[in-house]
Amino acid sequence: MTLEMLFDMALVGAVVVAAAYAINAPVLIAGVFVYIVFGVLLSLVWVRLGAPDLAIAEAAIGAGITGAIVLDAARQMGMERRRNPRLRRWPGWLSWAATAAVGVIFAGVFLTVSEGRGDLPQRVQAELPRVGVENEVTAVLLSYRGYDTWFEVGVLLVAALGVLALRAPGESPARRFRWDPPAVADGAADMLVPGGILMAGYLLWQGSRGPGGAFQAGAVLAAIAVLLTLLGRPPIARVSDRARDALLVVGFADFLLVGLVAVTLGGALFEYPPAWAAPMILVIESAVAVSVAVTLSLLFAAGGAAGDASEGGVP
Amino acid sequence: MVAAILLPMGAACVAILVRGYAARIALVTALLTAAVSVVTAIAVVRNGPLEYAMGGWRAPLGITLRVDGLSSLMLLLSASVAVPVFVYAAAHYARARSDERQGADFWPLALLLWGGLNGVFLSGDVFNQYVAVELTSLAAVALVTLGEGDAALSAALRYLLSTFAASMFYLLGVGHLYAVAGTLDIPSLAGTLEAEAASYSAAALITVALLFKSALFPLHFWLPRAHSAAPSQVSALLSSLVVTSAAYLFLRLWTTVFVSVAVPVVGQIIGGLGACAIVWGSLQALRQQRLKVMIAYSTVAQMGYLFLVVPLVTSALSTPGGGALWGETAWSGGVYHAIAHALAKAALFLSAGVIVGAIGTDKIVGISGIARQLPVATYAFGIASMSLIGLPPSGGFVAKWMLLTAAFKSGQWWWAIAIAAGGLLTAGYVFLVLGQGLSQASSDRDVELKSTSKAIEYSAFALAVAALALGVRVAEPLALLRVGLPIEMP
Repeated sequence: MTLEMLFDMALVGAVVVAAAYAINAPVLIAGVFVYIVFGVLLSLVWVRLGAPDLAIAEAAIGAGITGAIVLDAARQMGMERRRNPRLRRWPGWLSWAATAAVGVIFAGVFLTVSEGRGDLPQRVQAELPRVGVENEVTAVLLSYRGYDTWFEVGVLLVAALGVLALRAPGESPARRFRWDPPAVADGAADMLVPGGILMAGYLLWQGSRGPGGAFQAGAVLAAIAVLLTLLGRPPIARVSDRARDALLVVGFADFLLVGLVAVTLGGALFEYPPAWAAPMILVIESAVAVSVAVTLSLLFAAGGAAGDASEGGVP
Repeated sequence: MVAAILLPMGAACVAILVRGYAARIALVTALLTAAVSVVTAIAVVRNGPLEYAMGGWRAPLGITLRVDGLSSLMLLLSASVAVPVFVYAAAHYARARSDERQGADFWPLALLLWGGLNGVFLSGDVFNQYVAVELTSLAAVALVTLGEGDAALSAALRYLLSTFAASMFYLLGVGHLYAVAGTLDIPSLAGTLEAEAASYSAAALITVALLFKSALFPLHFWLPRAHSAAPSQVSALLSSLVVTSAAYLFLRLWTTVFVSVAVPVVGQIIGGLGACAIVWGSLQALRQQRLKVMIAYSTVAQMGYLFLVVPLVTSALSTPGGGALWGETAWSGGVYHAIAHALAKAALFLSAGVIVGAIGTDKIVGISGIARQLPVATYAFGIASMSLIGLPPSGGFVAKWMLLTAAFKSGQWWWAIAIAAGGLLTAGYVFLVLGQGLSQASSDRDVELKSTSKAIEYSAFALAVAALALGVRVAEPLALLRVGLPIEMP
């Protein structure tokens, strides 16, 4: 047994324990914290599986933004001290037993198909020169299966529209936390914000060559927006409703427009001519990154109960 | 055919940017998309099934869209429902100033929903279907929240949790499929799936997910509240198209990808659940005091009919000559039922919307005497009910006739009992409403109606007539359905 295998087994064990504890924590807020840890552990799993793109996305979105949203929701519902009511009742044990059984069955099933089948990975490699980018993941997401990704961006748009539809009439979707952030927090933000924007730009540009891309860049930008929202300076409050809508829709619309430009150049929808593929993909990714960032920060900024929005409160 | 997806999606973007013109944009888009659907159907009849390789990458590397007779009929169905519903919604929002903001939220979501549905119908790739279903489901949940009050919000939350639990099952199943076959393309999958553990787990996961999303008994618990709490124009879209899209996927995958692993016993169990759905949903509908909840339970019952197809078709596929004898009849009957039900159900929800909007309550006892004041809406309700019961001449009659024929020819006569019982029970609950509506208004109470508009009433009427017309012109839809029949009959 090698050292790597030991590490992997410890990691998998930790993931399962963290997941179980997140559901079963005696105090609910502790479950939320462990859920964030679970996200970080999961991103390590992606690293071990050789999927750094997923690892970055998991850490930024799965652990980061989602964690912030769930934590905020738990705080608003006064869950800091509330105990988990589900513990020690028979439906709970039954569902644990059922989950464990299903887990064992799936593990058994996966052992029967342990080796990769089909030749798709080789084909993805073979056609890369015709795509115009070097990163296989970006090639799959934006070229081979660009149509899927366009729909996924559409899912994000629907989520944002759903959140906007939920707010009370005349209510701004941007909550303002009313507290006096310590000067050091403001100072730290002043340093983190430009760095974060630079980081997002790097991830976006890097996406054509190595791990990175629109979703990761958008998540980093959204993290900055969450930070500023917590400090009482929500960026989303700075733009008009109309501009906000435009920023939300630009990823989906721009993706479609570039796809249609490909049609006017004589190809199928989303068929970028090899000479133009790299810049076209970058145009799509930039717009998608903006929409991802605005959507995620809207999800956080708008996440107040109707009464809570005016009161604010200490985060 | 790609335009059937791009038009609603593109229009949604524009409708978000210029919310003031959203209704006009949506109506123009609806007509254009309907025209595209018709042109696609004509092309399919003339040239056979069509394909389109997205991004110029052919499957398995890329995603291939495919349209055969079934997909083409579904495109026509979504257009036939969406056009009248959009007319209804436009007229409603133009009159009800208080709902102005709801209208601004409705149009982009409804257009994205339509685009997503057409994406489901055209997709030839299991992962792409997942993404399209996800888009559709989320848009449907967001549309439910437009309903009034906390009831709509709690119904939407239940709907969200149920439908996304199902989505996770589906995604896990797709993962198993890819692990076992190394491709996501449906025709390639259909040829390669062998009888091994992961094939069965994939089939089980995807089957459960789609039964959840098409609200087959006993996985229907989320539907009645969600579909009744939504605004009527939304209820019409959800109850006619969204659940049908899940059932479409189920039939599509069971007759292609999962043919080699479909066990006859499972087919019988699913058929049994369908029969339970018919009886249980109809009995619940009979018990309801509220009009929209009653119509929603009727959807639970009517979805049951679709799943009677499963035991009939799986048995036909494993019997030499069974396909020609009853398989194709069962298949056509099921699809015909889906279409007839979708049109009739949209008509019911829209006419219920007219009635509820006019009298201000959806209590069934409150609608007495409504026939004299809202004759068109009541008439639409009556015609749509006719198709729902299965009286000739209507689409519902033709569908049930084909299902009955197939049940007897296959020797599985027990399904005929469920079909007949369902018809009687359906007659029971719709006549409760119609009887109340046709009765004299009680004299001690003045029924004061809020005004309604012609466009609103006639949009419901048009849908009901469409359900009826399916019973008159049968040959054309059936001929279209036969193009590229997915079941290969032995």
